[in-house]
Formats: sequence, structure tokens, C-alpha cells
Amino acid sequence: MSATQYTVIPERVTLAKLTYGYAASDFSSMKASGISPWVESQLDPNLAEGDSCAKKLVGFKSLGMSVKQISAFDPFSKNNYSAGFELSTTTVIRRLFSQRQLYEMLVEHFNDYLHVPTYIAWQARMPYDRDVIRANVLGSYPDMLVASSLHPAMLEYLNGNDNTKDAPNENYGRELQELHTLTSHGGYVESDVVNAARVFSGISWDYDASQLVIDPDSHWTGAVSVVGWKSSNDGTTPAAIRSVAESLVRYLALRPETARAFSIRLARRFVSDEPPNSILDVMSAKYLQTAGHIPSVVKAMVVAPEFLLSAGQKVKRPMEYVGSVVRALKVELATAIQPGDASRTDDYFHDSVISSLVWYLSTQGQEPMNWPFPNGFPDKANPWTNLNGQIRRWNLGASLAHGWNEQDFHIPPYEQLLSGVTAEPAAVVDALSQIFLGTALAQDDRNDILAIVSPIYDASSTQSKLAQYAQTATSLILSMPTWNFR
Amino acid sequence: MTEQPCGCPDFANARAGLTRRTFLNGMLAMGAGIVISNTTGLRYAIAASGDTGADVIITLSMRGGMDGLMAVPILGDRNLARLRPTASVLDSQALILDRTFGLHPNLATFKSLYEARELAVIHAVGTPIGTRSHFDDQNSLELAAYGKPGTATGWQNRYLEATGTTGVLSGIAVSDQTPVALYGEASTMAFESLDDIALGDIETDHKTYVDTLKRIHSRSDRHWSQTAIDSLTASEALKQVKSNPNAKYPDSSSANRFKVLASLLKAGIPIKTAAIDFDGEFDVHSNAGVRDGSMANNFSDLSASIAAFKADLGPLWRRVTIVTLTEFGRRLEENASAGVDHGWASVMFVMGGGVRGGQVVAKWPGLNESQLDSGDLAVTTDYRHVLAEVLKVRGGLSSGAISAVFPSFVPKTLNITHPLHLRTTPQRKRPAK
Repeated sequence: MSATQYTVIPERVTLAKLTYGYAASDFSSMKASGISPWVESQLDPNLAEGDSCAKKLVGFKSLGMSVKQISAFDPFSKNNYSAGFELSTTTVIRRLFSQRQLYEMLVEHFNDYLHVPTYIAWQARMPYDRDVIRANVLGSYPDMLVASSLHPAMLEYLNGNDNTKDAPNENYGRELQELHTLTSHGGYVESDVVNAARVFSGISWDYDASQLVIDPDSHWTGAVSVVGWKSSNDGTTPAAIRSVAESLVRYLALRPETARAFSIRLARRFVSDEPPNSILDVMSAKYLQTAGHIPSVVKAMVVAPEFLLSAGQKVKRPMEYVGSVVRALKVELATAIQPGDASRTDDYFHDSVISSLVWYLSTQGQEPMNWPFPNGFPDKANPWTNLNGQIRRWNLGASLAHGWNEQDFHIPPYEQLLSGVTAEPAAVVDALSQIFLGTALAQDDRNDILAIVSPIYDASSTQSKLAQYAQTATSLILSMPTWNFR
Repeated sequence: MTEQPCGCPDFANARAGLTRRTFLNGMLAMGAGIVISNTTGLRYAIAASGDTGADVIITLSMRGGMDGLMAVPILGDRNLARLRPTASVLDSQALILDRTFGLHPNLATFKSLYEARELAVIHAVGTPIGTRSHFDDQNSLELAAYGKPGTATGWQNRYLEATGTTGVLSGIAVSDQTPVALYGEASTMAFESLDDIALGDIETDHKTYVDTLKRIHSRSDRHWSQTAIDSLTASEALKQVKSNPNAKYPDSSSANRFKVLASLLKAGIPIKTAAIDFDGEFDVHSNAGVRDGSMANNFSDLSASIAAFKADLGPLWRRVTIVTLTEFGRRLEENASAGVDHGWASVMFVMGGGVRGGQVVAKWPGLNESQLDSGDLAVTTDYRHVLAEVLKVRGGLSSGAISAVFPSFVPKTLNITHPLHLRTTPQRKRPAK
């Protein structure tokens, strides 16, 4: 895209990158406080999700349940899918409606980084999101990684539960180095994979007792080294075995190669597909200097000059497309979410009005957390740039702009969004362009859109003239290339 | 696409003179392709690139590391029996391919295709560099440009470029996402279902809506916009395609993908190459379930899906070549959890009417400890030899074009394909051994 098409308004760029989509309220508060204070406030652990979000989450019981409680809860134990679906649903609600937008973006990012699909370990996946990801996302990455390494969801997914001294299961030992820390050019070799597996052998989750078990009899003892880290690994107590495992994880988490890999991945989420070295240098240095303090690295990224210069360089993934439309149009759920019905074990959350969005995301290949491989959803443009994604995206945009799915979604009257705007085609198109794109349309695009919008007024319709112009114009603006980038 | 430089200047000539846009206008004026027929009523669309009968090259990716020794075990091998006490096919259960190799008992369709000489097996085959990393090996396998670091285009896309094909539906992934093998300059389309991929309507006539979206996207030079224009064209062309299976497919997502592809081929969509991911659990670090369980189920689904696809295609089966791919096989020795960790060499299946089937091609490296590569079956045949022969012989590419698809690689003939012109000769069936 040529630079002339995108007017860089710093607050716009920041919101497009750090939230699920521009919302007028965020824009005004950022304008009032300045960008850095706004980012600070987003990273405040005490910031509330907000009433609108909190109310929608009330019925979802697993949010507060332990692994043991989830295991014992009939609707989940009799239909395991329900537990994962509840997590997908609450995740979408939070992404769309929480005031903690940057926090939710980071939660998604680290769910991708230390990925476990929701169809794995149904008893443990919701607690993993809460106790491993959310609990640490405003803290240190090494802490998050340690928590992940011992959590039943990860132990199940990457076969820690099967890893014993006789023939160590290498799955976790490899991905710990390849995906979670060093990455494949980070200097580890096959023997490092085997040794990492040995360090974790005998650590598993006991589903009957719902607790972590460290079994010295299944643990491989003897000296081990992993990319420079060494241990005699001769402990015979659970505490000693755990401490060696934790020491390895912390060592790997604080390697310079990890700092770089962590920064690349974070910048690929928020800056561009191939982030410039200059910003990666700053982020890696901050990572090492703060021992992997996540908010510090995020702030270093946001204040770097490359951040604003990367305006519009990321293709919105399906979730960001949905989020940006919902937030810009201030779409609300048409009815309150009913609490789950424990007597309906076949379909516990039978009338969640947000199901249609979860389903839409799944047809777009981005049902929350359900990527089938350990590396998390792709985060470059190419895989998402295709017919499936584009046609469905335009159809969803038109549907939301027109309020066609009125059973599920309520679109506020355009009279509110366009308060004070004359009900004339050009005025409506220009105002909507400012709302969605933060800039005037290029002349040719404006003419094309007006050519469709101008003749549509139907005096016999029950809808106002303004609404008729606005919904057609909105559909077209939402399908523009610019709207699909952040 | 402007963001990524094309790593393939060799295609400049192939592309000269015919832009995607002008081709497309011509093609749409004629309908979705040129339809020819022969006396058997065979209906087939060809791309307008000049070739009159190249096969549709279909890749079937088994992501996760599909083990070759579980699919095609070497018979009577003591190492295999000893090191895989549970994660192996018992000799007594294996279907017999030849004196040396067997086949997993659930791959019955593969056995009958082998007997009909329509399926060839290439064993101890794999990538030239085995990192044992899913993601690095899948990536490099699909880029297939080991001699040319920094290449950002996939081999299937370079194949499209080399053929000079410019139709928007020439390269298809039956998937929600575009796979790496299809990245590149040539237009490709990804969709998993024929439902909901038609552009809806707003308050104007449909053609105006489509044309307006195309015009708006034509003013941006982003890859996104280029693809958007093609998506609109493709989506309109796909409206004529109905799902009308002539066979009973198993109830699985992999089978559904084959069903979609069959619908497209039967409707005469001029596809030159298609990518399907097999949706199975191949990354069997624990409880591999070779005799009963994960792998046994994978093979049942695979076998039934191919059987249904072949039956559904009818005479069109003779116009496709299917090649299976996986990033690596697995370690020879199973682990304590009855699973098998990442390894290196695996097996490839090549099937279709033009395949010189009924043979297992393998320079067998052996399974003694000294013959293994870090405990894994060693690669003695580079997978690109298989792809290169298929593209050259069944895809009708010249040797020069092959070197553009697989840079810095000298292919050798494995003799697993019949020349294209032999297609119309009925295949004589060889009695089973």
C-alpha cells in the first residue's frame, strides 16, 4: 500500500495493533492521557474487565473451577467437548468486550506461544489459560514457562505423562527448546533434546488424584547437560527432581537466543511479519535486562520508533477482523447469555448467543486455541490470504453492517454512530470513512462506493434514509483492503 | 505480490505475454474451462496453457511425521520386531507387496491399486536435511529450495508458474489456510468447503457489487488485494460446482476434502495441482496404535478415502496423480509409552492411472544400528526425485522447467511413471503374486 493511503494517526495505529480493534472510547481516553500512560494503564493488573464483559461471563462455571472440579462436573465429564467450547466462548467474549484489550491480546499471544489445543486435556485446558497464561502474562516469561512445564495440560499435550527413564519421550524436551525458548537456530542438538526429556522423566499428572506426581522410580538419574546447562541430576526425592527441572527451564528461558526468539515472536504479533532488527535489538536487550519481564518488553516495543512506522503492515487474522468490526460498530449481543444448564449434559451451553461467532471463527480456521500443531496459529499474512478467508469476511462484514443476524447481535442505530451527519450519501460515506479508517477515502474508491450507495434509498422501507445509506456504505468500507490490515 | 521478491527469475519468460488478468477474461468468456470429451464420455477441462493432457497433480500431506515402517514394514526383519515390540505390524498380519515389503492391513485400497499397477511405493525416502523438527522440515519440504536459501515460494506454486498456467483455480488447497507449498506469484485458492464461499448480495445488482470490489482492490498493490480479485473471480466460477458424490465417502474431514476436490474436477474446473492435508494423528509419541488405535485408524480412513475418491472420479481417475508427503518418519526404536519419537526417512505413495505401479522402489539402507542415522531409517532417496519425475512425466514439464521448480537439484528418473501419451492405452492388469 502506498503511504498516501494511510494517514498515520499515532493513537489509531496503536489501537489497531494493540487491541482487537479501534473503539471510539479507547481513542478518546488515549487522546486524553497520551499513548504511554494508556499502555501503562492497560498493563495494570488491577484494571477491571468492565461490567459489559463481566456480566456476560457470569454463567460460565469453569472459569473458577480447579482441574478436579472440572473433572467431576457432569456436563463436562459426560461431554468433554463442552469444557473446551466454554473456554472458546469465554475467550471470544473477553476479546470483544473486555476493557483490558492489550491484556487479552497478550493472553492470545502466549496461548499461541505455549500452545495447547482445547481438545487436549479437557479437565485442564481452562485452568491452563487461567493459571499459566493469564496469571503470568503481566509477570515474567520464565515463571510462565515453569508453570507451563508442570501443568497437566502441557504434560498431556507434549507427552510428559508418558516420559519415563527407560525410554524418555522426547516430545516436550524438543518443543521446549524449539518452540518455547531457543528456536531451531538456537544451538541445541539431538542430545540436548534427549537430556531435557531425561530431566523431566517421571514428572506426570495423576488424573485420579488430580495432582502432580513426581516419581523418583521413573526418573532418569545421572549427569546431564543441555546447551551449556549442567546438572548431576542425582536427586531421588520429588523436590530435588522438580528443582532440577525448574533450573533447566529457567536457564533456557534466559538464554540470549530465547530473548531474541521471544522478541521476534512478539514483534511479529504487533509490528510486522518480518520485524526490523533495530526493534528486535531493543526488545531483546530489555528482555535480558529484566529477566524476561513481559510488560517491560511490550513497552520497549511500543515506544520504539519502528512501532508506529509499521502501521498497516499486519493482515488481520480472522479474530481481529471480527473484533474490529464488532468494536467499531459497537455491536452488542442481542440477548443475555443464559447460564449453563447442568441437566443438559448433552449440550450444556445450549443457547450461548455468541456461538455463531465461534463457529464463524472455526470456518475461518481460527477457533480460539484450536490449532492442531504445537506451534500455535500462523502469524504471517500468507496462510490467511485466501478465498475462504476473504469471501467469508466480506459476507460477515455485510451481515453485521446490516444487522441481518438480529437474533444474536444488536447493531446500535446508525443515528447514534453518525450523530449530526446529514442523511445524504456523500456525507454518510465520508463520516463512515473517518470512523473506520481514520481518514478520507481516495477519490476513486469514494466514487465507486457512492455509485452504489447513492441510488439505494427506498422510501417504502421502514428504515431511515441515513440507515439505508450507512449499512450499504459500511459493508463496502469493511471489504476494503485497508480495513483488513492493522 | 510485491512484499516478497520472487525467488524465481527463470519464470520471467514463462509469464511474458500472458497476464493473469487477460487470460482470465478470455477463459471466463468461454466458461470455466475448455471441455473436451472422448468416446467414453470422459469430460475433462484443460488449462489454456497449451498442454492437452497433463495430469492433475495432487499432494496428500500427512503432517506430524507419518512413519514409513508402520505403513510399509520390511518383512521378517529382526531389528524391526525387536525394537518395535508394540508399534509395528506383525508379519502375519501384513498384506504382502513383494518378498521384501508388506503393507499395513488397513491399507486394503493401496493393495488393490498396487496389484492393478496404479500405485508405486518409494521407501527410505525423505528430505535431504533431517532436523527432526516438524515445523522446519515441513517448511523446507514445501519450499523445496534447499540449494537456494531465502526462497519464499513453494514448489507447487513454482510448478504452476513453470507451466505458464494463469487460471485462478489452477492451484487449490482444500483447506482453511494456504499451505507453504502454494506460496508464490501464481494465483492459488484455499477453501475447505463449497458452502458459504459465494459472495452474498448487498443493495445493488450482483455484478456491480463484484466489479466494484474488484476495482477497489485493483488500486492496491498488496498481495492481499491481488488475491482478493482472484477470490472474487474464483468464487463466481465455483457457483456452478455442486457436491454430487458418486461414491460413499467415510465420515471424516479428510474424506470430505477429497469429496470437495472430486466435485471440482468433475465440474471441469481446470485445476493443475491441488493440496490436501490428511487429518490424522501421525505424531504418535505415545500409544502409536499400529495394530489397533491411532495409526490403524489413520490407515483405515486413508484407504477408504482414496477408494471413495477413485470411485467418485470414475474415468477422471486416469487424469490424476496423487503423491503422499510427510516431513519425516519416526525413530526405529519405540519409546516406553508405546509411541515413537521423530525420525527421518519414511515412505511415499504415488498413485493414479499413469503411475508405473506394482513396484516398491527402495535403495534399502538396512536397520542394523550402524546403518541407521541417529537411530532412524536413513534417507537414500531424496523426495524431490519423486516429485520431479511426476511433474516432468505426468505434469508435462521440460527439464529446464524442472530446474526452476527445484533449484540446484539434479533429478534422476525412478521410473515410476508412464509417459503421458500412453494414457489412452488401457492398463493391462497383472495377476497378483
